[in-house]
Amino acid sequence: MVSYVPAGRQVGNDAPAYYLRTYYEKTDIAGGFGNTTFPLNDIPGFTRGNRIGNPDLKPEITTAFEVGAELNFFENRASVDFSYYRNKSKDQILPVPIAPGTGYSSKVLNTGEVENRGIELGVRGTPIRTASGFTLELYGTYTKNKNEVIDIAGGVDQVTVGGISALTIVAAKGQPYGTFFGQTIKRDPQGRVVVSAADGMPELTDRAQYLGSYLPKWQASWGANMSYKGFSFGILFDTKQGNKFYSRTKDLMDFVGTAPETAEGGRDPRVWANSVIETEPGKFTENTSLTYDPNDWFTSKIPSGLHVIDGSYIRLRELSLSYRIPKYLLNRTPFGDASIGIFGNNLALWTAKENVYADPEVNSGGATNEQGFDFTAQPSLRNYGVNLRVSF
Amino acid sequence: MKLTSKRYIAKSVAATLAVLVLSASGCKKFLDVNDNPNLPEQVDVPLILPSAQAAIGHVLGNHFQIYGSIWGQYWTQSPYSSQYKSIDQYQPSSNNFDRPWGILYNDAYEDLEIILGYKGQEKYKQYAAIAFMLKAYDLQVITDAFGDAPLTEAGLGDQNLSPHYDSQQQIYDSIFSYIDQGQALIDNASPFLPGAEDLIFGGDMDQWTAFGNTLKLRAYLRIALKDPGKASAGIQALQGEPFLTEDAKISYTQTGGNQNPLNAEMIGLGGTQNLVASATAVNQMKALNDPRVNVFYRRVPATGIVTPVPQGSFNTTPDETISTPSYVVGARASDPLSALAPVKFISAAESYFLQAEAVVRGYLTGNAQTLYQEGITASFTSYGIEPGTYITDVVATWPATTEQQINAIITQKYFAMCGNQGFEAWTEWRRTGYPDFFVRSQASVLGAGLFPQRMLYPNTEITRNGNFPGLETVTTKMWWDVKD
Repeated sequence: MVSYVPAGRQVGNDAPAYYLRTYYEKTDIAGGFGNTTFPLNDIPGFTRGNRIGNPDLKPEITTAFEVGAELNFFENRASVDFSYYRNKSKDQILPVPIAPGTGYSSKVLNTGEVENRGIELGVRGTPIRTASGFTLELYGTYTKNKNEVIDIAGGVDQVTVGGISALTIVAAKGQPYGTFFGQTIKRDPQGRVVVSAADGMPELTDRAQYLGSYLPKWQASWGANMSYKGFSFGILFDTKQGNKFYSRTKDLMDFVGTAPETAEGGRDPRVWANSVIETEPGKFTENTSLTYDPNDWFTSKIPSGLHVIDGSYIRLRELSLSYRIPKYLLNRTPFGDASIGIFGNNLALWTAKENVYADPEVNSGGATNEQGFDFTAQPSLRNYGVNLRVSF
Repeated sequence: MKLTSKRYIAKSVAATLAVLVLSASGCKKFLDVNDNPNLPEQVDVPLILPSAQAAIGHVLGNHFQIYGSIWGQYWTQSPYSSQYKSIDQYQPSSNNFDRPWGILYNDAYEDLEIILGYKGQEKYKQYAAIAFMLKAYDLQVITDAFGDAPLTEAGLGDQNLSPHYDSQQQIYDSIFSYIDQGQALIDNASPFLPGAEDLIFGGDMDQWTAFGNTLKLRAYLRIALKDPGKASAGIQALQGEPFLTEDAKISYTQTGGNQNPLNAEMIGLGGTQNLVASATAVNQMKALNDPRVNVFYRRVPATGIVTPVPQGSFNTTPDETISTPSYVVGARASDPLSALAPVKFISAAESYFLQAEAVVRGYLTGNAQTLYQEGITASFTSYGIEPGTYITDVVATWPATTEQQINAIITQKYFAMCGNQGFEAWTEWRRTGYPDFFVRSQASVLGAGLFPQRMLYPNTEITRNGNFPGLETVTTKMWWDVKD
């Protein structure tokens, strides 16, 4: 059986509270580690807020097109669900960081146009169903999404949507939404690292570079459900591949020296592997002798771009086992139905090889445009539990 | 009770009407999330002035005090911790300047512009006069730290999201203009004088006149080596005008959030004592038997002596207990009295030294040696220190040539500013080359003979300003710096 979902529906989204106007706030000057807060000496003080409101805000509009098919076989023992979609979102409402020379640090804007297109595939099957009551069901989903920023309003090609000043998350024309933008180490045309003749450490790029997006190339999940007599067992895995994330955990671990990479070579001065020195403009000579001090590299010169790492992962998301108490045992009880089970969530995580730092799904930005941002967030938790379900 | 059908209809109609009436009147306002009920859109000027003053005070007293005092070789990074190692290595990064630049523009500059918007109203003229002075002061701090900076296109909000940078020369011209405009508005007999909300002078407009004159003097001397003609003309016009005889400062308390900004920063860092005494300043002060060395620094209790370490020697563990700067300058983390150290915008001592230098250069008439003595005396008085024979001894060695006299004045000014006006002291060293006893920091990553000459533009400008002019290196000199 094939079904067709009609195309072209529009959905709107409104602005968060208080984005239309600029306000004054009670003065609290944040110096970094210490503040000057009003009232100062019993004297009250207000200061112009740093976010410029926009009274002309328009709602965000997303126009979606989707076509799909749902196929069932073998008397519904197997099914395939497939859809292709293409969404365009316009006039996203964002508090965009702006240069402090303007007297403010952010402005609320309707910014441009983003396109998402991709496919979603789901399969489900029950390969085993025996007369004695054993069933095995397998299922899986696959999503591949391509995202591109088509245009940005206001005559600019790029707008910051989050991050910190040294490592911003931007919407840049021609790049996927949520691309990381920061300085990283310089490489020569052959990909070797250019080190400075003064200190043996990699040179930094003059300008910030695009370092990949927090959006994944593809995602998938797969799992199984088994049941036999009163027992049920379920297991679910999922994965996200190709996304990047910024880890402040890595930044701090490098800084204090607890990251494994800081201990390589016993922390003695050493030559940067596969490095070159720019002896003349455009001419790169292999570096085999100039050493650098890892302590200095990790505590001050290492650029934020090197803390943007592969966020791909596979996760054992859920495991559960339950037993439905046979009805005849419940005859004398007020319960009509009862089952008891154990479950576990977030039981195992396999991350990319270079990610020995944090769970890439943890996001310090909350449910905002700022994703893929581990700002020394708490580690994610493993849950175990027992549950008892009864009905009367 | 059974309701008859008629009654039932009536009741339901009444109920429906009630709901409609309530929703029509109350709901619209209640559900309007575009008006913030917690924050005002207009605020009275007396509430904004102290915010601008405290903002400048915070940067001057915290970030710039640290950079100025380390690069000015009063203090150095402790061997037992590491927060300011990169400053002593002369290798700061753009990250470090996001906050000071942000506070000086977002907080101070923007608030001052708003106050200046009221300069036509009699009720706020005196506030506008103060705002002009502070705008000039704010701009001088910004340009002396960073060089070229936004001015004509600054503070325009969304009218100009990518302000171009003006040259340091233009900024200095504007500084003189703003002070003039401010002084024109001053009227100490106005019925609308500010009160305690003027954190610096409590509304005493005569003091603000003196502040304006002293700031002009400081600014003209700053450009004097680059443009002697302009400096000469500007300073000669100040002949006979009043200069500051009292410190222009903000005082703080021990209440959380109201402490001296450097102290607040240290508390925020967990009370770690990152700053210790540098041998450069300490040994020179000790050589002259300067009693102030025991006030600006804390003597080691066991020996009763101020024991410093060489500048930038944090990689060497010292053999003995070393001294830290004292609570008097707000720099001793474990002493709660540090919270009370004031932040000085311009000090009385500085005012006298500026006048002395102007006389030596021939821009003002007067007795340079007397002014020199008054400057040193003001420094002792300001901290309640007994000078003993120090002042008479030092004044007796007043040298003969112009250049030596300038050296003497700037060096004594340097001692007076020890740990309490670090940024200005470092800036005057950049301008004049005095004092001449600075050493190369042992941790320096710069080439031989090179010192930091500026702070770096912040990341917030690099990544967000479409008209960012490009990073300058830390060793590029200021426009007004023509000294080798």
